[in-house]
Amino acid sequence: MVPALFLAACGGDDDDDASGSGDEATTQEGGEVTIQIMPNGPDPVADFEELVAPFEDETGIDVTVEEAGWDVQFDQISNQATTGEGPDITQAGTTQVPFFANLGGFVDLTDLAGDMEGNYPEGVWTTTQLSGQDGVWAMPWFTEARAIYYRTDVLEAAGLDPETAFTDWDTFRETLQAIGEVPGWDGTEGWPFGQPGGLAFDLVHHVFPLIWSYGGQELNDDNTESTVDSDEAVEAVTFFGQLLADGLWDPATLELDGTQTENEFKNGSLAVWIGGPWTLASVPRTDDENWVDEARDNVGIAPLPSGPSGEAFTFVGGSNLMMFESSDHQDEAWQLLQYLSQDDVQLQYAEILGFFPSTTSAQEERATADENQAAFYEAIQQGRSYAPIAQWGAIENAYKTHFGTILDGAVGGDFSADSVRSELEAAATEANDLLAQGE
Amino acid sequence: MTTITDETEEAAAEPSGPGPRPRRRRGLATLEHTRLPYALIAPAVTFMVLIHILPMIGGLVLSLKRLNTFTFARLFGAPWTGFDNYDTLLFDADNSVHRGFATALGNTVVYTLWTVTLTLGLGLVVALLLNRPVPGQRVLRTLMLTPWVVPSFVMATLWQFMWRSDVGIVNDILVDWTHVVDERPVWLNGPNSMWAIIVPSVWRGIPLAMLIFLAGLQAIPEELLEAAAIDGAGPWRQFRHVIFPLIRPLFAVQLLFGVIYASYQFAVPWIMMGSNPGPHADLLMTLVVRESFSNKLVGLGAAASTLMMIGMLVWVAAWYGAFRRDLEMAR
Amino acid sequence: MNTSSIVGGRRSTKIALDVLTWLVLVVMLAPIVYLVLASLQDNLSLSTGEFDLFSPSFEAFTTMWSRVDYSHFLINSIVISAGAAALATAFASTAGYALARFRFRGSRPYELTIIGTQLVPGSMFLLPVFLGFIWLQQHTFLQLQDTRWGMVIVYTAFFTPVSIFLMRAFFVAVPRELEDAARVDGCSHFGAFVRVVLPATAPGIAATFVYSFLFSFDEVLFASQLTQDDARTLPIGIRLFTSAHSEQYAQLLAAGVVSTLPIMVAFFATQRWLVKGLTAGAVKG
Repeated sequence: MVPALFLAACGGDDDDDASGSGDEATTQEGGEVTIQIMPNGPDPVADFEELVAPFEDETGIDVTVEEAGWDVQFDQISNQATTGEGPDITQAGTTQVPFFANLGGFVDLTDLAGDMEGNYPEGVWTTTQLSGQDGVWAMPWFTEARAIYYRTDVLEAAGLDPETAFTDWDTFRETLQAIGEVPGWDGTEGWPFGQPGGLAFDLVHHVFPLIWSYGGQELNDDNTESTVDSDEAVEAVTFFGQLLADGLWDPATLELDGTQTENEFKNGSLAVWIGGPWTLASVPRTDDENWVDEARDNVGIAPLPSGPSGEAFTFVGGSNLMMFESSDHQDEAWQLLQYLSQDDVQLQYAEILGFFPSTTSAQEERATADENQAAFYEAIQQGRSYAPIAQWGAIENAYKTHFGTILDGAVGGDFSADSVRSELEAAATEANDLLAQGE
Repeated sequence: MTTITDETEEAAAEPSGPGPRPRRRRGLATLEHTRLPYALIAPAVTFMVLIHILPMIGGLVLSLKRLNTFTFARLFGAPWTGFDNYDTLLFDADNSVHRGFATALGNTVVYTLWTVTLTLGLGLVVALLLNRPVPGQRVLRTLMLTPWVVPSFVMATLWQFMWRSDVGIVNDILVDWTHVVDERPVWLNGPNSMWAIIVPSVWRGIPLAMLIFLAGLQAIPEELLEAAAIDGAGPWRQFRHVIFPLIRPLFAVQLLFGVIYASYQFAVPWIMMGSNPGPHADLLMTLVVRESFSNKLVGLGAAASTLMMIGMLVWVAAWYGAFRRDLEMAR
Repeated sequence: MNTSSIVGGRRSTKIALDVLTWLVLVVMLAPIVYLVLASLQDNLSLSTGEFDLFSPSFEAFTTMWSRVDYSHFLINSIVISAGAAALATAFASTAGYALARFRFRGSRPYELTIIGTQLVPGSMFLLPVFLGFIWLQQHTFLQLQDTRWGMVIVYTAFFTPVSIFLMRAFFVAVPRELEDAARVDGCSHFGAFVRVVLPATAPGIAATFVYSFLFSFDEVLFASQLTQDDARTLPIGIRLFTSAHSEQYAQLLAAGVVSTLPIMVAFFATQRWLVKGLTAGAVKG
């Protein structure tokens, strides 16, 4: 027991590179903490348990891991916060933190973590804030950015050069068309492109890079009005939906969620797909049985194409960790949060899962690992996210619903620039209603 | 209980007065007897007050309040907003919740019409089929009940898998095996998604309908049909004039509860399609749950629930007008 | 009545109808058969739509227990449903008896209120109960959110109304002479109820219990908002499993099969009484 106390007391000194290590938590033997995570990989619970095994040994704290899927976590966390019944810590999407912080039921970590701000890039730290209110509402956990996944062998068979296949959206479209000409890839055995629709919690993260590259925005500059029905946005979304209407995009993927669609790429049914870095990390994992060999051996990554504005954007997101106010184990929870914020632990989780760490130094180190990682690192630097306002969580859900309806319509034949515009106007109205709640 | 004591006194004072008085049972005078019924219903009444009555009043109160993510923490102390919620739901054409409500209402009406019609119609047909000396009739009848025994959430999960347009077995049957259609239709979103929830609901509802109709059919005396046949009536006329009138009360009861149950359907679309089933399959209950819990617009949710309740009262009144005679027959 | 008597006795018609009847059964049972067959496949085959009927794998049935806390959900569902069914049947027995045998002041409004509760959408109760549970937790010692007790209370209240009508129909069918005979022997009213009437309606009690059990087991709306990890029931457990492991189709379907078993057992064990009870209730109005 004594060594455990010793190590726990020394826990704060481990972060040599960090400018601050947070408040010293009261050390104690034993104790327990429950953490809720989302499916961060093929075997999320086992991976996380592996990650915290050293922590459990060192501190004697028993960590229980629970899992909640992405399409239910928003409501789950909401209920857990308002009813006071739930785990001690939960993972939450970076774009959801302001909404939850405003809802109430989470611990303000300023006293504990205030001096850790310098450990993180600015964009990452912003995701712990709620616009208009002081407080640190979450600890950053990991970062990710979206990029294009493609099958190198299929691109080759179509006679395309990866360097030029995805330069801008028009080239992207031509690439898909060329792939459709390759025998078997016209929908009989596989499809050129596949992406989930309204069932994917992160649909908006795929659509907004498109909108941004066309010059559109999700809200106006001072976040008082929705601009998702601007001409640029309409053009961008129409382009996207047209891929469906033209048979380049597998319509069945609209019935799937993100994980299931990811598996369509893994099982060889899709040639091109937009995803995050975690899928890359599962390539060498032999315990991931969703891959077929031709897909596993032929994965390529490319940055998202640029749009008419001349610029390319990607969405930078990730997950943070929030502590519930109702938790009876706040000390242990804080110890776990500290542990997970350590650079070496950050790097370890990144390696297991393929996400990017969130601390500056760990990110820089990760970028040197290999080419694909460097590519993701670049993407993160150029990435963009949404306004940290309280209503964003709900607005994101609303946008997701309307984007999903547009895509469903493209399959059902109910699709045109006009139908897109009217659906986006409905989205803007809903967002404006949500924005008005704060008044 | 002063009321009962009054009755007791009245009964004692006027043992057999002239004029229309309700028949009094013997034994109403004993004290234990007069207190007993109240004691017997007390537990049930207590729970009813706790979980039905008080919350309903609470629901009406909530419908007059403005709740959203900013005011939710105040619970019942959120600010009053009068009838704004009702106004928004019914008349505010620009509001997204109003539009959602209108869509869900339309969907729920369509869903209810098809589900109840098909369930009762097919249930009757199957009952007629089973009401014959078929070889293995008892086994048949028991097995026929099986879809009802599968829990609704298992059924919804199963059908969600079956409806998948690429690998689902429904499309395998329609396209690959029987070639009824050429292209694999999409069921889980888009215009067909309404059928994706109707079909499993009907499938699961037929056994109970069949059971009830079968019981009714078997209670019809053979002689009535023989008499009709002797009078020259063919099968259809026998059905229309002899059978149907006799099972009409059963039909009426199932119709009443069938419409209520279908209008309040939540589990099937929620499990199959998530908290937002899309503009073609979003029903009133999925809308209310989504707006109340995901968006924290509890006041609007309560107002929508109240409107649904009013709608149901209208239905019951209409039903009563149409089927009152059947109720009296059944008594 | 016999349908044959109206459609006639021609042999070809008879055979055609027999075939049709069996065909209908096949169609009705097909999805269940599919459920079982599919649960014996593995995930990769299911995701690509391939079926291998000849090498079934029971793997899904073994791995599903470790993937998600399935046994916890199953136990919760059974305990909560049995508890609520027991209480509902008990309350419905006494209340049903009161309505069957006594004409007391307020019985008519009470009956109407019972029917009225069935007309109200669940959300009308759910929203205030949800907020109420939060309020109770914040201001009193009562912790009902995410507890089995909370769910038992809610379900008991829900399924008592219809149970009352079911039991009442059963009691009405018991001849009054039985109780009168018992009273003559010196029993009180309540004693006659317990010693004579209840045993006579034992099948009805079983049927009512199973009815409440089935519906509690099946309930989704309230379970979705009033439970978290501790009291989570099967429907929500499976829904979360679908969400967290959406690609593990085999385990999901295996969970479906296992979830159906308790209901199947309860149902087929008591089906004779249940059927009699439901149809008696319906036919007698």
